[in-house]
Amino acid sequence: MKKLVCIWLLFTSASIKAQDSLYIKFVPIFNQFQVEPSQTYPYLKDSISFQSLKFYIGHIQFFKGEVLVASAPETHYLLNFEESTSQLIGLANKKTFDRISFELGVDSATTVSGALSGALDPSLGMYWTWQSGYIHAKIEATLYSKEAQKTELILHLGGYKQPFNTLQKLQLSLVQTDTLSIGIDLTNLISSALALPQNQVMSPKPEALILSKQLANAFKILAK
Amino acid sequence: MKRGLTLGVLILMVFLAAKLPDKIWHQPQHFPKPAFNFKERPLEMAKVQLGRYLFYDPILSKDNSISCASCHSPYNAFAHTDHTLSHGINDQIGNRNAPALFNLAWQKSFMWDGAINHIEVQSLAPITHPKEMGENLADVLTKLRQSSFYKSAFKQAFGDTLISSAQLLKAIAQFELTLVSANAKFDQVIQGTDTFSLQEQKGLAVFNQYCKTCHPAPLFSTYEFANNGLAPDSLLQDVGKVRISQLAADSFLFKVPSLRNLTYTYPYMHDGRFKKLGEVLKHYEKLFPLTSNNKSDLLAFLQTLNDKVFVFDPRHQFPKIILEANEGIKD
Repeated sequence: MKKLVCIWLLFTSASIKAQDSLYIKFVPIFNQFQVEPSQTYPYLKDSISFQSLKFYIGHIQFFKGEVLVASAPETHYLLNFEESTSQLIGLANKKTFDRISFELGVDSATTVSGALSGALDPSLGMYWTWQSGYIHAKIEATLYSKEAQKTELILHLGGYKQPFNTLQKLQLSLVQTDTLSIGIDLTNLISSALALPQNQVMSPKPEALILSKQLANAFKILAK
Repeated sequence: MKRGLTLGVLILMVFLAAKLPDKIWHQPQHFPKPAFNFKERPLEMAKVQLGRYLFYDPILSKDNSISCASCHSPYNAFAHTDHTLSHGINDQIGNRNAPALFNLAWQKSFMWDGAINHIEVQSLAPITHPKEMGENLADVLTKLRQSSFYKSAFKQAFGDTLISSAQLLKAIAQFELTLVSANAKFDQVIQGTDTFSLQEQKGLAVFNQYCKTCHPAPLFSTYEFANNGLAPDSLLQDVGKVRISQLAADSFLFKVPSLRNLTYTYPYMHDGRFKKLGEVLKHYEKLFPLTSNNKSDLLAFLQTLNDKVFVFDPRHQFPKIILEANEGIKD
């Protein structure tokens, strides 16, 4: 297990000119540990393991001040932590920027556009079939408790219609490097989800909205 | 001379090709503008035909026993009359009455509760529902990719043999969009080629008084959602659109069905509780002061909405070629 010793860089506006391609790396974190498949992590007196971590990242844009300087070539990327390569998004970008914006999830306009392909292929397990709409984020974990039976936590967070449009728009200020590492610290989200009367949230509803906002707050630029 | 003839043939071919979309789908003159954007996604014959094969092929189900047509028979205006509720793999019974499929291009949402937002993703629901086809997309694609028949049909439709889920879903949608019912007696009257009988005229008056708000011509549905006063079935406990929207105001709302082709599409209502139109009208007696004469006249008018041309249109029926593809049986 690799323990992260990291310093959060918040609201940093410094910029460095990129030389070649830029890579964005997404790193899931729980309780200061980098999350990897099939590993167990301590949580209070118990332990937890993650079976599934998948996120849609859409409309990645780079800004210098208020000016849009570059956009990612694909509209949407599916991050799947069972496939380490999907955590790294490569972008040919030589522009200077100090801010990145992106969406966590699939926007409403895309969701009503019929059958899509690529990262949005409905066969990838991130599309609800009993109703239309993408699962913006899928988090499945098991809590092993010494005092109680194990708890299955299933969070399929999605929803494209108001009042339960759970799409989240994020903006992160950053120091530009060749590889941007964005951490997704799931600790608070998991705590909140385990406190719910029901540990499964699998449709657009108030709990999905609350947890989606909390998940958006979990995205932070990691120190290089 | 020969060169001129060749040029003429070429021009004729280009002309025919340009006219082809009209043969696949045309806008009935007395219908409103469709909700589906045909300019953005025009129908193509090879895709429509592929969609027709897929619609009738049980290869889409887990045990290769149930096709779309199992619950949406052409002779029932693409509804299902054997059961009150849909019938899936392993003889399972579903939760709702299979709706009739026609005039889908004019609908903005699909299913009784409007759960589906686009016709191209509609077929995902029955394919993956455990009580319907019980299959997953990945396995469907694997089966299709192993079929030389489908490799060829997808190549013809999409120009490659990739066979992706988007191609599969689009093809089924293209076929379903061709299911247009606009040739009932009512339509002939509107176009001036037929006339209503006296009783049908009286029925039209009853219809205009009590029914047309939710079932306006020419589609005979607003395709919106309504509570028509049915008590929830004690076993099914179906709450309607609220299951999807999570909004209390949507409790017990179901999609208003079209009144076209009622003779072919029994049983009626989202749970198929009424087998006969007389039972339906008996229910509406609770809401409207319908006399016996009113009901007889209304039934006569509703008969004018049956579209025999649509129901028996050979272009929509079972493509025997898939028997050959799956079983080696020739026509």
